[in-house]
Amino acid sequence: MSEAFIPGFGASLAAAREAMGLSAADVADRLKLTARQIEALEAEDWSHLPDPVFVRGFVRNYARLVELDPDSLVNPVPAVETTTKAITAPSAGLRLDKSPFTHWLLLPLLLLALFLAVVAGLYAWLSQGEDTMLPTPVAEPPAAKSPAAASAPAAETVIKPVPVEPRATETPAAEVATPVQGVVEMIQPTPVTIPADQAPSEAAKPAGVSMRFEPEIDAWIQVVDGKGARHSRLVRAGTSEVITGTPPFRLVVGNAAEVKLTYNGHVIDLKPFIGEKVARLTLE
Amino acid sequence: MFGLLRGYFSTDLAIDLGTANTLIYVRGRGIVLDEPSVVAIRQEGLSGKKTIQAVGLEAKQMLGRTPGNIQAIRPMKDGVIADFNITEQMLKFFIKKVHDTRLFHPSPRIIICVPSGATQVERRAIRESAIGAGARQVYLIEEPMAAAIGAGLPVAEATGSMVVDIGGGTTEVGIISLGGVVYTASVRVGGDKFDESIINYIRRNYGMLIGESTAESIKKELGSAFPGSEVREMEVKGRNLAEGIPRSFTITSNEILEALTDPLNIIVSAVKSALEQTPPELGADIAEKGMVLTGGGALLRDIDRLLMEETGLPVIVAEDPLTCVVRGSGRALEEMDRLSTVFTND
Repeated sequence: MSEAFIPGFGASLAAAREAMGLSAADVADRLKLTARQIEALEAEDWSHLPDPVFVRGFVRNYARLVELDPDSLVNPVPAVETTTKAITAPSAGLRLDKSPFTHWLLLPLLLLALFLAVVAGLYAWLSQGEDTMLPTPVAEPPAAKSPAAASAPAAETVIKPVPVEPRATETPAAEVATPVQGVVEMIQPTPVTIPADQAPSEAAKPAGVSMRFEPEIDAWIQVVDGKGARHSRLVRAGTSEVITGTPPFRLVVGNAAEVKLTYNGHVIDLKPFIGEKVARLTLE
Repeated sequence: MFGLLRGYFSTDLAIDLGTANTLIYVRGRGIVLDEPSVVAIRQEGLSGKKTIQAVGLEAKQMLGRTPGNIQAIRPMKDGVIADFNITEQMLKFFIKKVHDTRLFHPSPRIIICVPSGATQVERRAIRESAIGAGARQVYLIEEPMAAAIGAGLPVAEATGSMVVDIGGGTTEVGIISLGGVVYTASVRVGGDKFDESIINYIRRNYGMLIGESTAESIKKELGSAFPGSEVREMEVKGRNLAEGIPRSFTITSNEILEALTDPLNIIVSAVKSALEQTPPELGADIAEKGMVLTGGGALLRDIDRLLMEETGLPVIVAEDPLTCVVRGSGRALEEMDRLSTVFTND
């Protein structure tokens, strides 16, 4: 019980009372306590006093009466003190301590987010790579493909063509054909390759504009016309290929230096458009 | 299932939903929130849609200073709910504020204080607004009991303890023994009535109109319940009713004492009437130990002296009287099993 009070508080009270010239009875009268209680307070006799919570109140009242500082006689109650501090803090923008569950929840959440990010990244990378790199089986097996074709997609992979190597012509067609067509397939699955019977139907259209490719060596070409129709194929050396469609045309021509292009009867010089070996241009 | 999960992520709360201030005690952490029970509502221009502009301290600063489209409201009046929806919104805001989780909407168990004089309808309103604010389960505790526990009185012992809790809206007098309330009375007089009396006194005697905030600061500065040896003065600014122009004037503590006489008399009568109703054995205990004052009203200068002189009994002011009720509710929350008898069944 006594730990709630500063030792010697009774004597301090008695001394202050005597200094003010008050008797115990006067104090008892003012505080509405009995003279016995005042004596017990001054003697720190706990047996004649009620619960500490009341005694603390009595001591505070007594101290105020005799003009002493109540806090110099009564020890602060630790529990009360902490809550007092908590409440006097401004509550605007109040943040509590982190509750324990968030700690263990945070880690799985971070891991989940990381996993999702990795999956998303992988998917994006793969789908981007597929467009240019990953071949898929082709519907229309080409009759014969040269190594130029084989190397074209790998390097061209849309952009960079590869030098022609005529000696590789022996390479089995099936092996090399797939990548070539794969490129086409992935870019636009539906119209991908022009079926054999489609050419005449397009050629039959009088409104269409035509262009002729005459390569000196095997060359791979891709033409996308204004309607989105895509023609891509390998044109063999010495042969010619006529493509008809609606302008504008977007052209990609492999081994362009060796290709003669005639567009509506005009010969188009591909040299200004050649980067490495592939020419990219748009014909209006 | 989801409710169970939300409950797991919510911490139990004890709330002192007071007329003037709302305090929240979080299990295991102590008091974490103390904000005025004020909500500022903004009304949108064309649609007329009402949105909450501010809650708590920020809203209190707007009281009496709002433009036409903002209304600063105190949703609690006389210790009970005056505006159900706004109270619910305010509770929701406070509950969210003390939960730091953003994942789940908190769904805590809540102990909430009610004035002992609250009717069944008023208790139900408080319970339902707490449920509306997201509580999973609501327990009600009467304010005198919470105040007694918070003040550290031996409520569970076979001895009478008397507590007088002077809050913002009500004054609760309770006599407690063996974990139960033997007698309780509630009068609708508290800090707000003190402010109102000061406003009325100044209007009557000075012909000046002052606001609630000014009245509150006068009360804190000069208010006293018993004539003291020193007379203090304060300069106050208000609007002169006759001229309609803001003016300043000086008021003394004696005048404020005079202004507060009426509400103080009501409190004294309530205390005396409680003592009259007390069984003699408990009366003897109270005569020896005295009564304990809690609540913001206990901070009014010399109010203990007034009650001492009026009743002839020792009167002590609890330590940290403003938080007694919420601390008591918090202790009931911590020891819910042991102190189950303190909750009301209404």
